[in-house]
Amino acid sequence: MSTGGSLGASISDLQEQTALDQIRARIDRGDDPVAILSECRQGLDEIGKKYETGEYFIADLVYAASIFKSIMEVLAPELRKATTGNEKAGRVAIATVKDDIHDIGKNLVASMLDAAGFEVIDLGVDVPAEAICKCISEHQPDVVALSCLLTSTVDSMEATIAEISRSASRGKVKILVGGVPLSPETAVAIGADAYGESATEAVVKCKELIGGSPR
Amino acid sequence: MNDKSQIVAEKIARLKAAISLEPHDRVPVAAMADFWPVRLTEKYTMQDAFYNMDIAAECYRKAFGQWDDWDGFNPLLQSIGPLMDATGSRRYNVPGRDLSPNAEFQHPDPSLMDASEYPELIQNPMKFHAEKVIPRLCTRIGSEDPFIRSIAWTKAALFFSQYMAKARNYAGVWANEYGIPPVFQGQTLYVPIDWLADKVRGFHNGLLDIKQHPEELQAACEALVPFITDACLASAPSTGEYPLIFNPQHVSPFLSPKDYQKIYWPTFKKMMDDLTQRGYKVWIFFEHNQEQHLDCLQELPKGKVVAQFESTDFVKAKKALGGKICIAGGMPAMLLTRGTPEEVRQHTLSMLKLFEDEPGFIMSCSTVMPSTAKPENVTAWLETMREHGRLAGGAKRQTEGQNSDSGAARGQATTHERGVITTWETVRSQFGKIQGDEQIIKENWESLETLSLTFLYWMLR
Repeated sequence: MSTGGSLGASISDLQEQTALDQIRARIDRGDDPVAILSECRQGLDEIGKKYETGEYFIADLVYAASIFKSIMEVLAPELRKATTGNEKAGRVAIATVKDDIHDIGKNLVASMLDAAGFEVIDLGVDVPAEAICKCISEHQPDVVALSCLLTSTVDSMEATIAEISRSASRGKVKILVGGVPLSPETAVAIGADAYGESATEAVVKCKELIGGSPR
Repeated sequence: MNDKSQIVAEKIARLKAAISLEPHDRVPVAAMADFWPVRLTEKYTMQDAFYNMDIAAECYRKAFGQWDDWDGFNPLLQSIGPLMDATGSRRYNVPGRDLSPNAEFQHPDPSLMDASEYPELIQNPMKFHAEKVIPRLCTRIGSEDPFIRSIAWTKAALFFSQYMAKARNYAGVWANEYGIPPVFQGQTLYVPIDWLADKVRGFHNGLLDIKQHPEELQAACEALVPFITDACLASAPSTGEYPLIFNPQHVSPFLSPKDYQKIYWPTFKKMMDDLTQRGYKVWIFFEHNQEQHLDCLQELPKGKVVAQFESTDFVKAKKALGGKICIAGGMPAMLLTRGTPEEVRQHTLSMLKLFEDEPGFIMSCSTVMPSTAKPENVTAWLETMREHGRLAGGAKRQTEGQNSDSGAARGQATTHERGVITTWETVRSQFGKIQGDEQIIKENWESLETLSLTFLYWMLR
């Protein structure tokens, strides 16, 4: 497999093996792992642009997330040795709401957030409001990202947001929502701070919600 | 012909005309649902309905007593809780067992096959599903203890038999007592990659296989076409244009046009051509937004399929497919659950306006009817259709007798070759010299074979 192109281009072209070969070669020659990760993220940004322009679709994003997971298996041990330049962009707790077990969208958003440098606390599926409130009080995430697929569980999402508001932690956390039945208008109606139409938009919205003050 | 059978005949004629793109009296309205009316009763939980078809049917009796305007409706009556427990099936998360009693049953997406097993699946799809997929899906059928396995298969077959008889009975009740005919016949049809992703590999793995195992996946899709087609049609009463075969499409909205044309479209088109040439018509449910594939869909058999869209833009869909294939949908599930009656009414009028010059349109909910739909919104929708449906649908009044049909019409009552698992020719020699009429033995052998094919496919769904 050719390793002639840039690492970012290999990733944005979804050339998994080429990208992994390039990363291993760069590690072997002693390149800074934080710099390598930064180039990988540039490739992922390019994938996001290709998604927004309609060249890529969700199957491509799912593959991109899988490629990034493989990359991190190679890169993580090197990153642990690096002491600086690897700060997190923010902390996001993510969950599919109570009575909904669908996790394709939630998992994809979690992967994209992870790839974008966020610390992600994945609470899983069918998560009761109490568990989300407990997570907020224990881990102080910047953003809580809630997902649902079923029309009927939008009610559950609304109840979850209401419970977070009642628990007095609402002022300390921003709430992002996403899922097939939702729209920007519904997101506002159920009390969310933002709506992510896609996984790539969810990343952008998390950055906007946190603003310039990540932990 | 009693008054209900006349009503049923008129409704079916209206649906058939819309599907065939012919002018008719008004826009038909059709829907399908799982346990939509359970919450309406305020008496039963989702768990009650999932474990008892008679309870689910009681809920539908209440709903159809209140709203009988549907030109077609398929209550799916998925009351299969006892089967899940008896076989240890992991296909659904069960309300009251794995979820809250009032949650809807859901698909947890287990992966039942490794990518390395594609060659084995391709070689003999039926055998692979029976020997590998079902035992992995159903933990009691996959038990190492032969006694547990036998009892699990026995319970499954007994339950299947009871379930099918009850479902047939209730289809008759909806038509005969409420004047509401079914829309679908037979079992659900899946495009092979939908089957692989939703039933076998798991959805995430299925999407990755498009990128990581494209050749094996393509070969598997080809190999699955006859298996899925035969199994789906095994329980369809006859070839005929009505009721329709139901085909929900799940993977396609996630695909780029490039991947779609390579991996999805070839077997999808092949199945549609095959079924429509045999005389069937197909209701295709295009999940989510599939605008990227509208150009391709123009090549589907004209006037022989229905395209139900969930969130594809209807203006674009009409521009691409109007006059070619019947379009269905248009009532967002979220509007029924969170909108007001006036919003529902205005939206219905806007859809009727959009299709005022197009007979090929059936108003339907964007998905299955949501269990949280507000009753006043359902009333507003159906009342608006009743009052204003004549604005559209080609605006041409049906002449008496045109397109009429009788009873729960099955289209032309021609028969077709039924699928079997083991052909008569394969087992003929095992019977030795047959002293009487071989045809009697052969016909009964094949009849039970077809029923078994239906049963195994039903176990996998």
